[in-house]
Amino acid sequence: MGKVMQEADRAARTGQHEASALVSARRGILRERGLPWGGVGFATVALLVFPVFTQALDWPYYLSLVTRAMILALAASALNLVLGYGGLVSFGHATYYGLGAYTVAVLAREGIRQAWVVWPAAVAVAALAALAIGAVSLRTRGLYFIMITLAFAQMVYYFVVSFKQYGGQDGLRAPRTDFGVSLGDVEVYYLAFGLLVVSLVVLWRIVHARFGRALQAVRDNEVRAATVGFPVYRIQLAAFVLSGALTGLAGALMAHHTQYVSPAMLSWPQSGHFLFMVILGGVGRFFAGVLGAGALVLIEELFHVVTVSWQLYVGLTLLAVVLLAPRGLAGLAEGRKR
Amino acid sequence: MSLLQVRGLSKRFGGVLALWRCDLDVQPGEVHALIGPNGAGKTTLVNLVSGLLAPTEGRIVFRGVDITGLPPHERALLGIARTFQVTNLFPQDTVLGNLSLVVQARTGSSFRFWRPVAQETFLEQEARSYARRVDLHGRLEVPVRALSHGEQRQLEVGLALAAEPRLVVLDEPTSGMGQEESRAVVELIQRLRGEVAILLVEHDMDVVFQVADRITVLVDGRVVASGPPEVVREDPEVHRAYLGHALEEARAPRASSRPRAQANASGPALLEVQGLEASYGTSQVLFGVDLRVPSGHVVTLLGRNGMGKTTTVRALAGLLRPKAGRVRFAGGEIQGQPPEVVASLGVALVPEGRQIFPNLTVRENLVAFARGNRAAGSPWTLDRVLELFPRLGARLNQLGSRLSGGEQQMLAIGRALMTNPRLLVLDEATEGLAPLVREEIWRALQRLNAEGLSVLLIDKYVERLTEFAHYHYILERGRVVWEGTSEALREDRELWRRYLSV
Repeated sequence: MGKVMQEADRAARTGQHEASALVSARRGILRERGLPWGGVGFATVALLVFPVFTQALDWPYYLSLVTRAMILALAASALNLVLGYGGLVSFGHATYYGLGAYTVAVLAREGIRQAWVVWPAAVAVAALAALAIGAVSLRTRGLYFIMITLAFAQMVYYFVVSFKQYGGQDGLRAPRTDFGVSLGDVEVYYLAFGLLVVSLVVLWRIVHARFGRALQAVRDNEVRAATVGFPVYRIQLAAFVLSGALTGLAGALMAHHTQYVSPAMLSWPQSGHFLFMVILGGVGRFFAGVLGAGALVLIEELFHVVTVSWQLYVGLTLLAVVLLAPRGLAGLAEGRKR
Repeated sequence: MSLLQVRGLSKRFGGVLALWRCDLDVQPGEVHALIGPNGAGKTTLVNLVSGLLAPTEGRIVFRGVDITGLPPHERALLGIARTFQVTNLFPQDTVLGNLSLVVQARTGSSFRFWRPVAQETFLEQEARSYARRVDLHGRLEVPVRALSHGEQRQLEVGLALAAEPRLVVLDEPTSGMGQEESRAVVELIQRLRGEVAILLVEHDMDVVFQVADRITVLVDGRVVASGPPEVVREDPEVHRAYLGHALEEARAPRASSRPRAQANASGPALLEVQGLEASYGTSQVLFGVDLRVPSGHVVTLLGRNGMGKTTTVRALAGLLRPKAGRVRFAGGEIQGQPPEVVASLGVALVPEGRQIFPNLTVRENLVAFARGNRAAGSPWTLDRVLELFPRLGARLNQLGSRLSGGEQQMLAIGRALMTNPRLLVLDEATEGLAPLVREEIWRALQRLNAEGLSVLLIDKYVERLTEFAHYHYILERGRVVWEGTSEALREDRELWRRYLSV
């Protein structure tokens, strides 16, 4: 390499502020369009002022609904890192979600409620589980990967259910952690909002950094990626652990929101729910998780109000989206812009 | 000391020995060609060197380091880069994106999670310089999908170069390329000579003899010769093994069983192909192929690798939808029909690589294909197939995967016959088989033809084919460049040199 590289390196160091960096970013090596600032700005402001209205109008139900949507958006965005950017269909993400939630509840049962202990512990437990499960699962491919992640998730599910002292099938109360101030519903709302924003920023940086690019290269052509020097297994495992950790964070948030955890959070329908959200939003689009979770919560709510057999109509809506908008909601939005 | 040393390397796939105790030495800066007939184990060897396969036994040493157990990415970082026989790129990305990914892979860790990669402008600048080296600097922003086949092949080489390797393994870099494009590859290899060592797997002997400093010949998984081109060219062992016993037979042709030469125009055509065009994605492979198989004749499709022979039969059998052209079979048009319809009309394909059902027994393989009696002639039964290939009788209850290559081939033919075809199409039915087994298969074909079956076949052993085939077509880069009788083919030695690389 020698000379070419030295020259290039020097050019890179001196020319970082030049337009070329901007140009290449705009051209999108990552095939990702720039942030849709309009939409993001509007959503941010709307979410920031939303509690003002709910409090004024005494609509606690809608505050709770949007809190839930934001938490699910975080979990689905975390799943999108492995599913969309990594091409790995994990059918077991409820495990990390549920473990994050259970960590909060179990620690509270044991008398530990300090926020600075509980939150890192919830993320760490989920990350460790993802490390162990990913280390084994990532040695398989395709259908086998789907099945093995599902199998691990079922194992964890039955493991948790077997702990009678922690509620077994009935679940467990999860009092909110202690931040020095007591957390009301509005505080939990802003906590969820803040963590969602921070997580999205982190995810945005990750997928646009060297790591994200390597992850997508592995997704697009694993053999070629390996033969040009990318450590495929370690890259996928790192993405899996990151995704698991963020999903665990979402779980801890949900425990705070509902103040109750149940084995259903660890169940395979929950994993399927997350997959649905990402697919609905548009696999591999940055805002797939946010759009998908938001839309699903909204759809469920609408049909729930109108009919008893709402699940049937939710299913039909999903079917329609998958058939009519194969690139998901994010894909629809892009299509309109073009 | 050698840059790459391969010692006693063997690879077994199930019951098949793909490579047997191979030695190979590549010196720094040399162009080392690896040649051999299809199925000789060239790609297996290349995959072992780049780490995509693990050897059954043996050692690989690169720059003094034993890399036998290293994963592919570590070998890449040590300096082994490769291209793939079938284009293997990052399809969603642009030319620039593909190249800068490779630059990223070798310039520091990919475990950086925060700084936008777009700020590392040197990645892109370096990528541009590699694009220039493979003549793609005008196509930087083009997505790989939109590149022509030739350009994709160039990018294949570009990706290998962008890794700044010590050794580049080029696996059939000219496959599917036009003459112009092939020449560009030759020039590129010439330019790289001395700068980086090249291990070149190539079927085009013109290319090999133009650029190689040394040649290693693989046959049936064994190295039969290795040395400078002049020496290898004259090596009798190479001639015998690589060219089959074709040359020996040429010296003592058997007068018996030679078919009466007939002009191909005579007799009603069972199969007639006109102006057949076909492509894989963006790369067109067939540019208007015309051929006909008269009823009761044996017709061959000859030519070097990558010239469109397999594509032609795939298009005939309905496995590939032709872009243009007509295919008439037994009076009806069949182009664009799905394969099951074509098969039910009486065209039976014995595909390249046999493709028997590995998890069914011999009996099940055969019975699965049995079709009820049809108007045409006496129907094929299990017993009749076993009579034709007695070896299969002893193996009736064995799984397909347990058979030897020759037995699998017989099974594939028997399976095709169970459909009671009117035309039997064979794609490289004797590929990778021992001479005796090859002979057994040819005799069976002769017998079938004597019983009235029409045959269209692709095969490399031209000399032997001229003993029983009626008519021949030679394909070159997707077109028929010659056609004629066995006599005409035997006499025109120039033809052999030019189109059949004999």
